[in-house]
Amino acid sequence: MALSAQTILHLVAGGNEQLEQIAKATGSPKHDVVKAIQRIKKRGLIEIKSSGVYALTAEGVDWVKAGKVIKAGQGKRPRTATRGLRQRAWWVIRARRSFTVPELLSTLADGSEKGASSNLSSYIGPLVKAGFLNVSTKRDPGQALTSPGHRRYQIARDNGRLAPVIRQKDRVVFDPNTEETFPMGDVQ
Amino acid sequence: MKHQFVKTENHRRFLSSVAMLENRAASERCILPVIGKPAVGKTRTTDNWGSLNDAILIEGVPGMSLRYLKDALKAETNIHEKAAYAEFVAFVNFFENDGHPRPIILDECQHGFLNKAECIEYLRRIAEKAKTILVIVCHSSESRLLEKYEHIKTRIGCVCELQPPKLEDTALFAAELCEIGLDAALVAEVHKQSGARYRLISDALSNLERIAAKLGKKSLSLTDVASIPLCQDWEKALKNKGGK
Repeated sequence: MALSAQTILHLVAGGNEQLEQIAKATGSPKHDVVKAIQRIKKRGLIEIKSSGVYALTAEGVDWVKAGKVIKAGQGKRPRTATRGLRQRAWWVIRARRSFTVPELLSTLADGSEKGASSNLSSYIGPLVKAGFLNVSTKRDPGQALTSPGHRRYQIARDNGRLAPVIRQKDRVVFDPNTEETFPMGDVQ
Repeated sequence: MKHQFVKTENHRRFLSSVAMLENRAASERCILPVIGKPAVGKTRTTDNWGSLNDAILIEGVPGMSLRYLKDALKAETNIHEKAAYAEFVAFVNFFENDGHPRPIILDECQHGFLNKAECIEYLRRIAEKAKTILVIVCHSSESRLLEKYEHIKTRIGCVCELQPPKLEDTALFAAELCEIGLDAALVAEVHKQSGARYRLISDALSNLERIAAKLGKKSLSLTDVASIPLCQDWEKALKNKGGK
């Protein structure tokens, strides 16, 4: 059975502060206890008084008093450095103010993205409908002989660097900069 | 023609310069000037990298003062401190970003040299404290300004000079963007007619696709387009008009 951090926390709270005592009480090897202690220490609930001697921190005492249970997912989430295509597109939109979808693709998409063009188009459409972007009346010429050209967009509402989020189900666009939602109108 | 970012030699050169600065020993040498002639891909390269790294982009404008720069930074970072020191500390904290520093890009940096380059110096101080890098972008002809100020010059970690595309870059462009096959001689012709400028290379490739569609071909060789101009070198045209 895996050594429970919760068990160790309660043992330390109950006065079993020595590594040997904890190992004996749990019936686990010392190195497993040390590993578990380190995990609890990372949460700031236990401190190491001296080699092999542990004590609860003030936070740990409060934790035990409150009867909280240690489980996965309670710690600070690691910051994910991923920048999705839409966030990146919003960055370029703000930087350039006026753009076409091919221009965005030529700046952002390196061919490794799945359906980059349709992803951007389905992002831009709701932004237009919610008033974040305006569509220019003139189109930029396309390359194919029969191409109707490319729509040129201009930024109309720039509330900040965080990219607006499309909530397709509610037909709104959420702006994380102002924490407002904007309904998608019927702008064409 | 496909629309996608092509990782040319300039892109590689830029990334190596960034890597060099990120691994620098002296934190004060945090300035990375990106210089190059028009149409070598300065904007595209910095936009691609900046958007990926959540950089803060400030565009230099003529007559840019420190007050203007601070206002622009406040708008970008959503910082509303009023006292100068608190404002500076808040900027540093924002750019530090809990150990994931956000880079700063100053486009059209030639406008940041007013009043002994106070704008660049202010950004440089933030970048140094926040352990990030300050990318300053300007045209080659303005790069002399970097030489002028000792306190800026000595803080440069590395200079990234973007070069006009070589034949290999044109071939890479053609391979990645063009939806028809082109033989090596035709790629060389595109390179020659474009005068090694990315915008004209794109024009030429696009024109070649139209020609192929008209001829009903899936690939072209030089003989198919002999004596047809593939793009217009407007700089050359203007020079000719001026009788030079």
